[in-house]
Amino acid sequence: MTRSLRKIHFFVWRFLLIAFPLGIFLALILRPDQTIESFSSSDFEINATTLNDSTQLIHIEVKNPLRYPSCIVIGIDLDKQLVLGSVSKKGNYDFKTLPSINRIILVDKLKGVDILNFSLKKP
Amino acid sequence: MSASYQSILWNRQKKIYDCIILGFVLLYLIVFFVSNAFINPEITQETIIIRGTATLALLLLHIILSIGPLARLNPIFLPLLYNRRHLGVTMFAIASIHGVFSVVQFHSLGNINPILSIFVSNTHLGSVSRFPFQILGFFALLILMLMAVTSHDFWLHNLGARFWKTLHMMVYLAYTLIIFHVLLGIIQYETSPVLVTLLGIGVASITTLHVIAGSKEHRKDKSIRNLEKEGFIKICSVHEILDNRAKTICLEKERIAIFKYGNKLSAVSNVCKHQNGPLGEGRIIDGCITCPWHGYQYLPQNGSSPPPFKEKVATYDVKIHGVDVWINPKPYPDGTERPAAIIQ
Repeated sequence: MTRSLRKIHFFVWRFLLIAFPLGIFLALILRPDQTIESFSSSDFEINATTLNDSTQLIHIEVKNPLRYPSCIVIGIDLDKQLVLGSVSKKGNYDFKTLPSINRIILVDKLKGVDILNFSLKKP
Repeated sequence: MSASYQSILWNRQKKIYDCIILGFVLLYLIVFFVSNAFINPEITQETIIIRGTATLALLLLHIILSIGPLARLNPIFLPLLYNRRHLGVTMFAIASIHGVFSVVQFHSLGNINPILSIFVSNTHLGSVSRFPFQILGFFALLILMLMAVTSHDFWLHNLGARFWKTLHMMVYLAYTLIIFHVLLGIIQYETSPVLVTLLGIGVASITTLHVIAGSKEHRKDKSIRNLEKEGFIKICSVHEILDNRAKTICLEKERIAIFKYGNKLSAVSNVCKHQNGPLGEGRIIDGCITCPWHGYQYLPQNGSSPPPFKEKVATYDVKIHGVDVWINPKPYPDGTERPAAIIQ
């Protein structure tokens, strides 16, 4: 390296030595609240996480094989019902939805029964 | 070192180096894909590819950026520097896969151009959690592409070592963009502390290494020598220079390397014409000063590469009084023959 490039190099890395920790600190401290609501039963575990002010993540773990022919995941926002998707077998499922969803219902549409009804307590 | 251009000048070292790179890349991807298939069986293959290539490219970038300062601090790391450009091109190829899969996954289903979609689909520039972080990744990939396509001696010779080196120092900008791409992207949604901890360790290691190495070089550049006579400056005793090695000093603008070979001393510019490597940290091999970075060679008495090569560096006058080595810091034009100082 030439002397001028060495000078630039040294200056850049001294600047980054301050900029990176500051950036990491700000990125962590300004992260939106990630409130987590949980529900657990022998067959399901549900976690609702607020990712930011426009997205909520609903994570459903199906612990045992389903005993229902269909299982639709519905989110309820006051009076609106949103079909988020379906779960079909043992495993993990993620659904991104609106943060205003305050109730999750798992429904067997074929039998016409509610499998689970879980209320999200919003702050 | 070559008198003509070839796509890659393969030799045994390069083949071993590339096999290790390829083996590591394949091993990483296999472990990542298999472990994710068990841990997160619900995520799609495209998502696994996006995540696997992202983490691998970031890891490789950290390795690449650590090689330079490590080689400055300890010559044991010089073999890693030799073929670093292959590692860089590999990293770019992996980062490209991440970029292409991300654009296809997140931007190709709309009715506007997917590339344009990166810039217009999210305009929350004032928000941290919703910042359009993909734009940062796009520009970082653009810089890495420029570097990858010019990672060849053809471009090095045609652009000139200084411009080429400056262009390739843009990797620091690319690195900054990538770190903020991660901080404003996945870190905003990731609840596990593992990723942010690993990122913190990586960033701290790289910046600390560069600052330590830079500080060492800065101290060398600042060393002042006062004793001057008839334009010559006293440097050291002849015994301080090892056989077939050099002592490097910084007098005016650039560093000078004083080589001892047999009972002779010659001084040349410390800056290799290839990639500005530190000639003074090299050795005399087969009667030629050999750059420690990529093996470019120069004759010590005239700073010229042996025929048919055409590289030349500046030369300096050296003389010996008793056991003291004196040097005139005024450089002669590149390739000028100067008589070697004879050690009695």
